Amino acid sequence: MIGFDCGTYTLITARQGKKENEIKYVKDINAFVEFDVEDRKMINMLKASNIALFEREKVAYIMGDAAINFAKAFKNLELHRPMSDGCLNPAEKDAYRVLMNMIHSMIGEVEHDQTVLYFSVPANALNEKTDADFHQKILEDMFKKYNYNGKTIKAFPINEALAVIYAELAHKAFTGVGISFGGGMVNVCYSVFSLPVVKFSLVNSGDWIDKQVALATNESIAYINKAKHSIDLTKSPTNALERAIQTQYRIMIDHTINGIKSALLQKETEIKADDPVDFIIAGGTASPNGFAEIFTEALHGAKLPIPIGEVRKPVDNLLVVARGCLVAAQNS
Amino acid sequence: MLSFLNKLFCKPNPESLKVEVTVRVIFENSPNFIQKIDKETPITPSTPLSSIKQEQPQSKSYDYDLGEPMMIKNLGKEI
Repeated sequence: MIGFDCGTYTLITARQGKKENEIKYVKDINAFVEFDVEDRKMINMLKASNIALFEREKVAYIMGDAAINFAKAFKNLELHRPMSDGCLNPAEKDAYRVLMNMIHSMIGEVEHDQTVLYFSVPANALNEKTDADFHQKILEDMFKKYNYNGKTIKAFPINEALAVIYAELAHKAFTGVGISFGGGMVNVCYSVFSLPVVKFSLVNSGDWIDKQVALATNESIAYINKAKHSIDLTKSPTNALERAIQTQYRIMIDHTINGIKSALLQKETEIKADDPVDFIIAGGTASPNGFAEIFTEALHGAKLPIPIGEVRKPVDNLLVVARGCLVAAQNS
Repeated sequence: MLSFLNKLFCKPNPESLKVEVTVRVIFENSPNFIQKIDKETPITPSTPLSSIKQEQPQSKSYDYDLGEPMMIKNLGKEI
């Protein structure tokens, strides 16, 4: 059984470990750089130093974490992203090929033929035109092509935010709201007894914050991305950059809560929640210190049509979606 | 547009309706199309369609080859 978090910024697999309750995770960055192969010796040396790369028609593709390091070291190398806004990147000509190779390589060898795998997919966005159905079909096609040493996998999609609920709300009969703040999107799902009642996404998450802050400060997106990782939302900003990042975080949280409120009001006649509903916050964009506190405060001020229970960010917030996908695979 | 098509094909029957759709697509994709006809090939009711130069739509993509999957070593780190 495998859980696969196919995120805009990170790819994560989750497998059951040998010990009880032990889960093994494998993670890498969903990015690549490409350059012309002019020097064969250089390629051989990169391979010898364990850099993840492949070649095609005199072009070399370096993938994952190594791609970030190469893009930082060589200013003429552009960092490419196979996915944008939670879906396959339509502006990236090699997106399909690179993402397929990354997905297959992250899975590695499976023990049994027809190994069950659940992979995360987004819901369509409320605020942008997205095609989550197309993205899901593309991923299904990639998983269908997996065949390593005669072994294949049987892959099923699961909504990313529902995976958060599967990972964290078993003790509440899988009833609650899961929110995954990823690189490209915020995905939200309200599930009752494991069935999604409301699910949607918003294209204003980590990448959106980078773009907005870059616009406000006239800095590069790469610089903002780096600065964002060290931000502490509990502290008062000490400069214009910190102020811009903190402000955009608050705007993103407000947009998300407005989206939740609006979606719940639309489904008000179908929803009956007598007991307080728990909210689980996950994803890399929710990582900064103080994020959960700001979100909780804003949530209580929003006057939602359901009673709010516990609002919690798991310690392993980056791994929650992959873990939820594994839970789905184990219960299939 | 309809009067233009009538002049071009001189037969206002259901067949000409099918042609109308095709010509509109060419106009939308090729802003210079009408200009070229005016300068190089004056259109008369007897002008054969095959003599009119048409611009071919160009793909924005490098190619559409999906490639065969490859297993790449050293991708992904256990955490």
